[in-house]
Formats: sequence, structure tokens, C-alpha cells
Amino acid sequence: MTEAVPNPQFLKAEKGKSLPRVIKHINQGKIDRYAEASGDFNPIHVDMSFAKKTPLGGTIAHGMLILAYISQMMTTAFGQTWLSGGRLSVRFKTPARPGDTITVSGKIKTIEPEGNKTLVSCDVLCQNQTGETVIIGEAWVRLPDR
Amino acid sequence: MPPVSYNVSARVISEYLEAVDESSALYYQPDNPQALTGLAPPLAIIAYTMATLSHNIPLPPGTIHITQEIECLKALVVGTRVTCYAKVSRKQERGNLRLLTIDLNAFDENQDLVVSGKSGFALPKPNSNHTDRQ
Repeated sequence: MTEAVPNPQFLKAEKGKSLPRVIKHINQGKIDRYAEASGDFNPIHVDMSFAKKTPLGGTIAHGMLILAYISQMMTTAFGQTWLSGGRLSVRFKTPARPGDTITVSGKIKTIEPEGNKTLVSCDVLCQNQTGETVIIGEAWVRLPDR
Repeated sequence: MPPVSYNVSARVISEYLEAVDESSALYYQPDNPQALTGLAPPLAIIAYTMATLSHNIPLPPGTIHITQEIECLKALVVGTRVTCYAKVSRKQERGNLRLLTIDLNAFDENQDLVVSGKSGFALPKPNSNHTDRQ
């Protein structure tokens, strides 16, 4: 379980500090469950016979499923402040596939005052088990003034 | 594009949280891990809106989801009726690809902007051979 309030460790944000890692194993059951929950039944995610005929050669996870793991890392670190002052900008580089293990990591890049708040920017990264980049980008969160 | 409205129900949020393996105390009561706190994850709103819009904007086979921006402006409460507006903000051509950017804005019943997003897709030109979207 993560904390409902910002993790005190991250209220004292320090440049270079690593965010708590999230590690997830992807399988077809999780992809199917996400399709059901989100309503996104694109056959490239859920239809093996269709996906095999594409250049990808098989089903892939929804990009938004992997993105949810980044959001999980941010809520673990920054709590509810992420829900009302978070921002994310990412690129999808390589698809995540059934059987992959995805590691989500992040690091605080800058800390700057912004009005009566503190704007923290973080580099965020999702990699598969071979080290390939699945998602890369940046996240920002506005923390209450320290 | 016409706006899309839906109720952010407890069932919808429970299914989403289960699907993304999320067990944060932000969303589940610590003394009763089956019960929701009432907060909704902002990415759920973007995901539902994109799925709903895909019925209105059928993206062709070979389309790739290449970029995503999301800004969370207000914590969303379960039970809120959300109205989402989407528009194509940019169209470009690059090599064999057509690039499409769709802007999304979700408002609550008070007309407050709760979450906004910008989704980038690469669409294959007809007769080109590319992968399907994520």
C-alpha cells in the first residue's frame, strides 16, 4: 500500500533522489482485464490470431496500462498532491508484451519554487527485462511550500 | 467531436484499479481494503475517454500510440459525472506516417477542469506497412 499523503521523504525532495520503483509482470490475463476495464478492445491487444499477422507478431499491452504504473510510482512518492497537481509527458518507445517484466523508475531532476508551491520535475522510465526502454518521459508535481 | 459524458462510478473505478494492480491507500480504505476512499485515478478518465472516442474516430490498423501528455488539475471523486471534450489539434505528414494529435479535456459537474491530456498517434499512409497502436 502507498501513503495517502505525500511520503515525508519526498516532501523533502532532493535533486537526484530516486523514486520508489514499481515492478510489474505482464501477461495476457492482465491485458485482457485492462481491455475490459477501459473498454479498449483493439485486437492488437486481445486477439492473438489477429496480432500474429501484424509486424508486431503478437499481442502487446495497452500503452495506457504501462503508463498507469508510472502514475502508481508518483502516488507512492507524492500522495494526493499527484492527483491535483501532477503532470506527465511521455513517449512510447517499445511495446510491452505478455511475459515481459516492466520496471518503472524515476529520479528527481529539478526543484524550483513556483508561487507558494514547489515544482518538482522527475525523469521517468519504464524498461523491460532486457533493459529496452518501453516508455521515457518527464513528470512534474506541485508540492505544498516547504 | 461531440462531447462524451459518463458517471465515474465505484464499479468503474474498482475494475480499473484491479486492472492496473493499484492498491494505494489513496484509493482503498486502510481498514477495509475492499472499500474505496472515493478518489478516482486521473489516468482512468483519460483511458475511458480515449476508448469511448475510438468509436467516433476509428483509427486504422497500423496506428501507433506514440506520445501522451496528462495534467491532473483536481482530484476527482467517485460518483462525479464527467464530460470530456476532444479535438484534433494537429495533423502532420512525415515520411510514410501521418501524425495526429488529439487534445482531451475532462470537466466535472461544476465545470472545473479535472484532467487534460494530449495523445499523439502515428497513422500509416494507405498501403504502407506499419505496426498497430499500443
